[in-house]
Amino acid sequence: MNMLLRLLLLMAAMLAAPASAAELLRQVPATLDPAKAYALVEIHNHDSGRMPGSVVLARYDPAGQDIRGGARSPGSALPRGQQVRIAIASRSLERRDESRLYLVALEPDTWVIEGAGGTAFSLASRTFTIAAGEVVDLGVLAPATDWPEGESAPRLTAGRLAGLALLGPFVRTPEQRPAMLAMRERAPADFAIPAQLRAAIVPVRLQPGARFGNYLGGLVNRIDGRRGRPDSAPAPVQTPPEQSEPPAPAPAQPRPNEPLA
Amino acid sequence: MRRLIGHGAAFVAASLLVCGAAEARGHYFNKPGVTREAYMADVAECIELAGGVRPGSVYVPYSPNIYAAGAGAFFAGMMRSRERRRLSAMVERTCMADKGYARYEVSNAVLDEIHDLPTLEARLDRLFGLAAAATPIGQRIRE
Repeated sequence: MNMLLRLLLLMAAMLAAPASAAELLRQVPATLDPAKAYALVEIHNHDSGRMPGSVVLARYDPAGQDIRGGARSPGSALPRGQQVRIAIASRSLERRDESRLYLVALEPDTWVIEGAGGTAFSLASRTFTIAAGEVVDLGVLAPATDWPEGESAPRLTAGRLAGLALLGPFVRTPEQRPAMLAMRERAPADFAIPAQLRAAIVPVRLQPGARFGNYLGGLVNRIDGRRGRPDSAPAPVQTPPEQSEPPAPAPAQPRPNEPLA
Repeated sequence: MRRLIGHGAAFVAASLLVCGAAEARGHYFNKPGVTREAYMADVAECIELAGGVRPGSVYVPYSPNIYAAGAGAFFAGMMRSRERRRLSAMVERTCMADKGYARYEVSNAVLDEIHDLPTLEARLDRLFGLAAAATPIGQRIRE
């Protein structure tokens, strides 16, 4: 019986504390762990609506040009028990109606902004390298739907609602569109950097052009969306054939961060 | 190996286009002047990304009746499969548009013409002809 209890306790301890883990912190720790790296990030609601925005960070292999352990870089896989990615979607440090401030404890490594809102930024994203004991501020991130060529969010009419109620999953639904992420530096109107972290913050060096496989299982896009595409991209279609309503004016999006290097 | 992957990608691309013959219309991607190697590499990368799509599971209410449970699982699988096709197509379209390709409708006559070509190589040549044409045929459609 005693043996069984020990075994159960051991298993519980192993489950509770993985060998190495990135984690979201609800409070700024009194003393920062010198073996960890920390990232501060503010995330606005998706499409500036009511749904909190979510962002996924993953450990990146710059040589293999893929997420660690991915199909393009199998040799960079992490040891068993180490997390390769962390979803920033809950356990905020501070919150407002329109945005939330998060503090993430990370393993020192090169990290990539893997996705947001269910979209993987496999076509082009940004990486940052963070060393042990460093604290970086990733700024303000605003996930939004990357509507193509004059489209906008479909209006939920009474007919559509009735169709959903009667036909459920068999009703014809509008096509899903990928998300993008607007990035900017922190402004005075945003959450202030917690006083305990102010002295420790070092400038983040965001490197553009990271590519990787689609491991989030959803759509793919560039982090900057269609406006970040190369100049060779085709011009948008002027008269979309399925457009039935005039498009709503798109909310103003801040310019993405330029690499600081 | 690279050649094999390229051929595989081309086969899938050709299959995708020709599968459209069962529907009213199909589509193809065009980038004037693209080389065959670049086109194959672009298609291969987009197919790889589309292969990562994993639609969420569909809720099936519990039923002690084995026939009802079987029918529920059948329809759930059908819906999941449809969702996978939709997401894969959207990934492919976003990826190809990002690489500079525009999407054009192709008429049933052209689809039939490609379908009736005697060999896979001939179909690939015709498909690549459409992809690299300076003046694409058909109507430009949304991404």
